[in-house]
Amino acid sequence: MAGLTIYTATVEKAREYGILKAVGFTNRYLYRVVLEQSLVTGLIGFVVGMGLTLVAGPFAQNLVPQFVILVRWQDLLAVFGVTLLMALFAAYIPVRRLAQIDPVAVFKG
Amino acid sequence: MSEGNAVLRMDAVTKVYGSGEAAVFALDKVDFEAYPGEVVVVMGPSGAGKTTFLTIAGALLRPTEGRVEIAGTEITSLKENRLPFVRRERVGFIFQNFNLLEALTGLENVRLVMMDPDSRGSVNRARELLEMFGLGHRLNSLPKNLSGGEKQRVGIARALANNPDLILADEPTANLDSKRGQEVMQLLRQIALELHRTVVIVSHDHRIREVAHRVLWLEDGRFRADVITERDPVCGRPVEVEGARTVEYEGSTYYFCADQCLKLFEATPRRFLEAVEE
Ligand SMILES: Nc1ncnc2c1ncn2[C@@H]1O[C@H](COP(=O)(O)OP(=O)(O)OP(=O)(O)O)[C@@H](O)[C@H]1O
Ligand SMILES: [Mg+2]
Repeated sequence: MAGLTIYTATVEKAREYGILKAVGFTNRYLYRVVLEQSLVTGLIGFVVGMGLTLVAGPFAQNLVPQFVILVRWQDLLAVFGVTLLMALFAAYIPVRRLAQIDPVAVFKG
Repeated sequence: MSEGNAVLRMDAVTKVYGSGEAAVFALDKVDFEAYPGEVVVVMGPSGAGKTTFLTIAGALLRPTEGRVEIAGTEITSLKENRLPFVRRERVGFIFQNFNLLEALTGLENVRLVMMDPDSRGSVNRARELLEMFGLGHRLNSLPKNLSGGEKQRVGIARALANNPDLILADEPTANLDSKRGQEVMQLLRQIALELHRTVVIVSHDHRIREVAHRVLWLEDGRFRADVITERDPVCGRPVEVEGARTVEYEGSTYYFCADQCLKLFEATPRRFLEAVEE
């Protein structure tokens, strides 16, 4: 599904979802695509954020000694959980909109 | 009328939009059948119900009343969540405005709808379809870099991706100049004849009649019954009498779908007449 994944990164377009429905993609499948996309984006954000913290943390501490950076695994877990929740929430709105798209509309000029 | 089983059959299909005072009968007890190997063109003025007819035929819209059968499956009694599978496996749609996905290449647009888009078999099949339609050099072009005619050919390749029995086209030439439109029409005819598919086109473009085996007139949600068709004695397809190529032979008039058939007939009429008698 490489094509579809790349493609959905740019999807904000109801018409294109309408086309997919018209040619036979199920709502369920499209929900899953949106959800996966959102989770992948969330995970990338999480990994990049954590990487930056670990790399840049020591520098920041050298610059400003009062600025204590301590990454505990409990914090990691909490941030991860919040990331997941945000990803789910971010997917909720497009999924609701998706349900309302009428594929018949793609036949109109 | 025609041999074999109908790929598309409609029985007393009615579609009403709205209700009460505002109710519109977009289709009014329509009967229809289409067979493998034939191109049927449904013409009619704006608002006649053509798009309604086509979307009901393609399992996109449910009729208010009546039965619809695609390739032997009665779709009017299927659950809503089964209809996408019917569309994907049994029906190929061709649209007026092509409806390609802009972020995908031609090849990806065709692969996308396949059941297993990443398999080598699918990639090969998508490529073969595009090559067959003269797009071998445009496989990796995005739609925005394709001409209208090229886009429509990608659209046709996509419609054939899953080997559907039924091809449904809504005004497939409306956004094309006459030369490109002509090419697309010939392709649709080829698909019916050579691949033995059923092609149903709705349009108000009169040029489309040239490729039709049968032309039906839809007006106010009904087919007008006064269009007479006869059987082409060479290929066996129904031909609309008005405007058809004809030959007088032994006191009878014969109607032909194309010059090719007419010439074959003229060479050895007996051969075809005996075949018809059988
Ligand atoms: N969703 C809808 N709600 C209400 N009325 C509708 C709807 N869709 C179509 N109609 C009406 O049903 C009738 C048939 O419409 P349809 O789109 O099938 O016609 P058409 O032959 O495709 O026209 P055109 O050539 O303009 O595309 C028209 O009177 C139209 O206004
Ligand atoms: Mg229409």
